[in-house]
Amino acid sequence: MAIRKLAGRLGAAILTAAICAGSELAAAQTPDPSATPTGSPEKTPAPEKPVATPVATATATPDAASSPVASPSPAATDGGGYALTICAVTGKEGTPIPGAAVILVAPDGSAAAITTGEDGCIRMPRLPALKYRVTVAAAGSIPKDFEIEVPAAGGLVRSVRLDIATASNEETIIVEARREQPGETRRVIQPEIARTLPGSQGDALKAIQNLPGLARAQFGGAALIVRGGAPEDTRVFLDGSEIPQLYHFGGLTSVVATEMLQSIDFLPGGFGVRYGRALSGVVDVETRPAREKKSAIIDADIFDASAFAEGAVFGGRGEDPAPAVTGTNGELTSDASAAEPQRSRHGRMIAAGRRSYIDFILPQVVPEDTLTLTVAPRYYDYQLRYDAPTTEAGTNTHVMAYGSDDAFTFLIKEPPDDEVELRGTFLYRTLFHQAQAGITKPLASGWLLSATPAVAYQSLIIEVGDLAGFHIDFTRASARVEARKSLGENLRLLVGSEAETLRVRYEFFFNQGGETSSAKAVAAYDIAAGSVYSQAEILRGPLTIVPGVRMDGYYPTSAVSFDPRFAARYEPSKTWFAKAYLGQYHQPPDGRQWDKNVGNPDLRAPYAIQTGIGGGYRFGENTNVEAELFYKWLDDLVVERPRDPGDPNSSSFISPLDNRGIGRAFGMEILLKRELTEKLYGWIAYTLSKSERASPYEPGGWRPFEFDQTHILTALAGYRLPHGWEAGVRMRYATGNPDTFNKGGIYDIDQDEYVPIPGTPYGDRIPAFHQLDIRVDKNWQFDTWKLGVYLDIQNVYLQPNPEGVEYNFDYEEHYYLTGLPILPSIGFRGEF
Amino acid sequence: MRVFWKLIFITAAIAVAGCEDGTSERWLLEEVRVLGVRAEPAEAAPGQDVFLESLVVDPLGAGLRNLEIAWAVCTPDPILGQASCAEPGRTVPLGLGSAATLSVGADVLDGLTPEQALFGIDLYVVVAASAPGVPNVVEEDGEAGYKRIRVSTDPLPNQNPEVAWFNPASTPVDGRDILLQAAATIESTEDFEGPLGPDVEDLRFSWYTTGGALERGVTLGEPLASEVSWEAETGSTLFLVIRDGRGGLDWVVREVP
Repeated sequence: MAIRKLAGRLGAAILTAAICAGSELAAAQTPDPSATPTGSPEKTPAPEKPVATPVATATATPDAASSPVASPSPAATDGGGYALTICAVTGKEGTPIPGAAVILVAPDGSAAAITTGEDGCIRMPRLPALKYRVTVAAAGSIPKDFEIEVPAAGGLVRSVRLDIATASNEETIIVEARREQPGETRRVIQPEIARTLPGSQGDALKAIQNLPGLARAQFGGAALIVRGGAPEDTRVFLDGSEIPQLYHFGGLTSVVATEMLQSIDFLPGGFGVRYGRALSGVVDVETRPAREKKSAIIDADIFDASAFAEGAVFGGRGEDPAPAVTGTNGELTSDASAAEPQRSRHGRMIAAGRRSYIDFILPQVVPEDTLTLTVAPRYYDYQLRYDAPTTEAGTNTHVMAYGSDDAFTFLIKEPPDDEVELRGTFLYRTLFHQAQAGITKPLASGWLLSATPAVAYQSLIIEVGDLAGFHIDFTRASARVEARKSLGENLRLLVGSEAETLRVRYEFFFNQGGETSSAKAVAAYDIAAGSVYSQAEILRGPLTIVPGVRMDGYYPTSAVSFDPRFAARYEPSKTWFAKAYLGQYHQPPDGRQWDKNVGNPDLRAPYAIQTGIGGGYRFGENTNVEAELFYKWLDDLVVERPRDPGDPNSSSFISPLDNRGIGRAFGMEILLKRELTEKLYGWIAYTLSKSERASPYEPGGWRPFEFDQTHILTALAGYRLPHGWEAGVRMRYATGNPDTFNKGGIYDIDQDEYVPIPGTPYGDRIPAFHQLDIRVDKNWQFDTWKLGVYLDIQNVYLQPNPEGVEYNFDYEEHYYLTGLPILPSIGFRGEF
Repeated sequence: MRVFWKLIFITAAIAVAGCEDGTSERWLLEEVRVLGVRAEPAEAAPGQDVFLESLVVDPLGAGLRNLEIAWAVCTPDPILGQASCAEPGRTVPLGLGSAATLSVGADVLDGLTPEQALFGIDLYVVVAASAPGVPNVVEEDGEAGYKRIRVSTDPLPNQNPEVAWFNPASTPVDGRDILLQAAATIESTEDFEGPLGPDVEDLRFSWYTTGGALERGVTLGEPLASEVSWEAETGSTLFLVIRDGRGGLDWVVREVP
């Protein structure tokens, strides 16, 4: 987490500086080297996490020519022993559509999402004789939404013809499945939709910035400031393993191709025992299995170009594709412990990559003598995934490798007067490579076993000429093993364990001047963490309660943390629900804080007590509102203790640490959402919150936390126009961050520099932020491929939003650093 | 570690050096400024008197108002550091005027080990310059600075550097760039035992002017001499302050006719 913080802070500011808009290093994020990744089992088409009431909706343009029941496909002539068979076909010949999504919703709200197999069909061996609402959707087609009634004898067969979406009637599906555990707040974003949101620049992972509970990061960066927590208090996982770095240069674009993503889950609080070692929130990103059908995508905008390809690569054994979900007793369920995994006969692969080209363009368009520096920021990333054929025993396995490399160098031609020794080349580089695997295996006993091992290497290099430098390398190995099972109708169990080892090596040098004076530190240390956790999901009609417990142990400190958690949900109908949660969450100090050379090995792991209560109400078919009150108490926070100037052993570079910090955050979140109906979708997210910190080393008691934002409002809407046009708009408002304004300076006569005289700690605020973004898309559908062009403009009315305060040399004058006045991005996308 | 991050922030700020922020330059003297305090001796022994002389300028108010210079001894707050010397509650008056004398107590090093006493401790002196406003002419102004006075038992205490010469390379002509050149005496750079081992002083040249434009305000000695480009303006006053990085200081003033 340390590297994510450093990289994000420097990267965001450096990139802005390159466009000469003024900058200040923004809050950055760094990965927590002591954190343990959480693995998630191999994904099946059905949600793997225990589900309460996933709700999926889709609407289709009314089309009198279409019908839920079209001419039957060759496979749908009889029930074949199955309770329900649904086949998706297209065209006059009734061509099967493999990989189409079929969503079934039962009257009690339980639901499942299944993907059609090679023959375009799903087959349910057992299903209660009820009425179900069905949605069938496929990429490039207009979805269908209809109802069916499964007879007691089963054998129902339906064939659904989907019309190809053309430029005039293509529909954009918004499917938001709330796959919350009871009490848990989980907001799910479908990557395909998130990619087209205004301000996203085509990056789905940036869409979480539009959700309640997330404060706005400085300079539009991607620091995850969740419910008044620090960026390092939120962990980010990719398929269950912690990802070292989520964005390039702190927020420009994500390091994972949007096309690879299956879902983006944002848990701002109250999360279950699967997730640990985080005080605030979790972002859980899941990639999707590769599809057998070969396809490719090329995407390019003003910053970078990317390519994506997937398809079957090897033959293999395995049964024909079968439904991914079935119940042990014939009831519809999304519980993966009772699921039959999706089966594929072939090995499939995804390959994707991105490379920036601003380092090529900038020197060509900007005369060299107009820049006081030579700037060459560049980044690239890659992802490779291989999904093996499903074995006869139903085991699914995939392996994935991905990585990222950001670099930025410039020559210091004109050092500032107060640091005249600063010369040479400034170098900033951060990179990582990670390999991980996912294995799921259903056991005859009914347990579903999953394992996720991972290895990673990460490096951060910062050099400031010959004056100072900092190198840090991480090598990490981790693994998670989980088992799930349903015991009857009313009880689901989850047990799991995860472990991580981390080797850290860092080197720091600082030249004070003179030929022989310097400070240099080289250290290496090993840390490890392990956990065991367990939870039960107890269902009693509309009430579900989930008690769970998690225990974490750490090496070499031998500290142990214990986190009990409890959650409950009451959902008597599809119209409304209520939930509540209470739990404890520990997060260990990062490796540097625990290091005996530069930190304090006696530090305890800080912890948070999180509690909340909330609910939701659905107005009709397409509009729903959710609200939640939350409170978070933080204790044992790591703070710097003042150095004793009289202590000859006191380091002049490093302050001692202890656990005497405390904090609290509380507030309210509201999400009002209108789902896609014909042409319009949108939502309004509002957060009202307060976050404070206190420490005995800071006078004045409670003071605002540096990331506290009282009001955070995001309103966005999208509208589909004829002929393949689509337009979207987003308006944001956020209270400015607290800051400590200086009230002048005093001159250090010997050092020839001015020392600021600070005002009340965090007693002032940067002015509020507000911005309007728009996006326009135009799509063309051809016979075998699709072309899209988009224009994304951030800050349409050129609001000079203050991001920080800077001062003149004696701190008598100040001015605001502002972000980019406007950021237009033009891009095109070809899908084959 | 904080110094390291300060360098990072400064370096990032360099990246926007091409972007003007519209604030004043430190080398341009437009208001009351404390440019330096010379202590003689530069490093004192217990019981010794230290003579303090200030270089304070008031370009706008020269001849219009009285510049008051007040001296005080400061005990910095251990948490807030030297910035707390700006608070009246942490200072004890020492005197008024452009110069003052600090009497170092004979017992200031009591309780220290011989090694600690050899390294010494720092006493802090604050010089605060203030000038009243003149209605419709000039506003009230002022500035404060602090200086460390090292007190030790070092048999070879630090000495002040000395400016050997400071001259424009050519006759100043309005609007034309000329080089300002200066050098310190050979004895100005001393060898010393620093906290990280043997070291040698690096001289820092700070340039100021009341008119024209300097290329930059600070240069490093190479090792005893340095120069800077100046867009000349006749009638200006040029100031040069050299520092040895250990509290030693000297200055020279040149009037440009």
